[in-house]
Amino acid sequence: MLRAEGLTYGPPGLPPLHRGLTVLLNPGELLHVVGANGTGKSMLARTLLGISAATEGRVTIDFPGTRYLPQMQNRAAHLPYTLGDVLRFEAPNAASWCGLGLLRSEQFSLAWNKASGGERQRTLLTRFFLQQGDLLILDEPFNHLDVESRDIVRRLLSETLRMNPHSGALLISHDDEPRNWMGPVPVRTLSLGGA
Amino acid sequence: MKELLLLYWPTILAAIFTGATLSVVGALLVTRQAAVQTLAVSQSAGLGVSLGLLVSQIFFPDGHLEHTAIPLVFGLAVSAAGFASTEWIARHSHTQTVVYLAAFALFWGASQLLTGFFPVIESHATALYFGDIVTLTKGESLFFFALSGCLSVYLLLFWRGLSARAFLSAILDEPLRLRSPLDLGFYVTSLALVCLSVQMLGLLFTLSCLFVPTAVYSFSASVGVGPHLGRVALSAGVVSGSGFILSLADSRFLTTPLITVLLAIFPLVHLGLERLLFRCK
Repeated sequence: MLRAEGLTYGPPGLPPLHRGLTVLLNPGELLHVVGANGTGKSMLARTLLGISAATEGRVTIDFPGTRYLPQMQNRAAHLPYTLGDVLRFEAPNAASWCGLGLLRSEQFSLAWNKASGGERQRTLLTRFFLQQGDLLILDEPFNHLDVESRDIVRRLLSETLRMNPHSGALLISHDDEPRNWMGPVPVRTLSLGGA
Repeated sequence: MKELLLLYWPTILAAIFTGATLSVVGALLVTRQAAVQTLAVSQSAGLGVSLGLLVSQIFFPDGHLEHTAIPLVFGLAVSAAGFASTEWIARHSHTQTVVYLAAFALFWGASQLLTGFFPVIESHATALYFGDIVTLTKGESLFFFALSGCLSVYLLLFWRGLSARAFLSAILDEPLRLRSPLDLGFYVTSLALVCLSVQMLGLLFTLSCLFVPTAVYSFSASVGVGPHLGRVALSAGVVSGSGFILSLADSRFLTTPLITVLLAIFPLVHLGLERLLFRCK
């Protein structure tokens, strides 16, 4: 279970974006966080994970292990990483990389700095689904993706939650309705306003 | 020449290993977007060493200032404080580069102010910026060889994890986790090497080895983290050793400036030949 009570957070030195927020995610369910740009969706994820400090409130995470897909900034890196380098950090066995259907083997030697936004996002998503951890936090996973890749990500997320009832997912996305594709997995929505 | 090589073999080893290790550390620091912060921290090490020289002068007026442990301890302490303070301020600022550059200017100004008030440390402070590998004692050379050798073993063992952490920090904005043993080990050993290198080999040598090879090789068409780190280490090691030997052969070659220029020329020639061979195929 992930539980946050009385959560007050916002950018450092500025008034809080939210005061006294309650967030609850039970095993086996998906929490869909929605809200307009600037309402603090990404900052909520970072606060729950302890990357950003909350002004007030308490966060409890009982899930064994966390996987986190931050919103991709589409930046270049100084070191000449290949897409394979990025995946190798997580799973040394290259045979597992293709199994998810997001990347083809000929793309593994492609330079990160020359890859398209879609190829970069598919690499990060492959890395995410190769990780271990029952708490899944995805921040705008559908950005840069074509229709086919979006369907694959929806299927992978739905399968992960159905096959492991101890896992739970927090999905930040403002252009998708998970109830349409999560099947029997319970979906709750947390609106941060403005959507 | 043979006699000179026999005399300076520990220094040549120290130059090769320190140059190679610094170049890999530099590539990882640049990827972690910490290049400008390193500039500021290196300058803070310089300030610490100047302070240490002053304290040495007060307590050991007849000793060799630069050979006591006091400048070393002050250099390490002030650079650790410089790292911690720039890190803290940058986390509370949206314009990190400006904060680092301001800190660099501040540390530089403070060093100059100190030198103005206490001219006795002026020659040592000047040596700090331009350094001279030739002045290393045999003991200091072997110490550098051992230190950079240990760090290079650490880098060889953990380069994949360290470059993964650098990727997460650069691309996904994941903050440094100083509580992570991998990051902590990297920062502590890198800080120690950079600080000692600034004190004994000079700021110019340190910054050149950290940033010149990785900057030139970033123009390479070939990809892969391992090959890039291997190339920067090899070129910096070869250039630091051969530059030192060249400066022994002809005293008109100033050691550190020669190494700095060769650190750019060697990878440029390498990349040029590589492209030529690629076109011929």
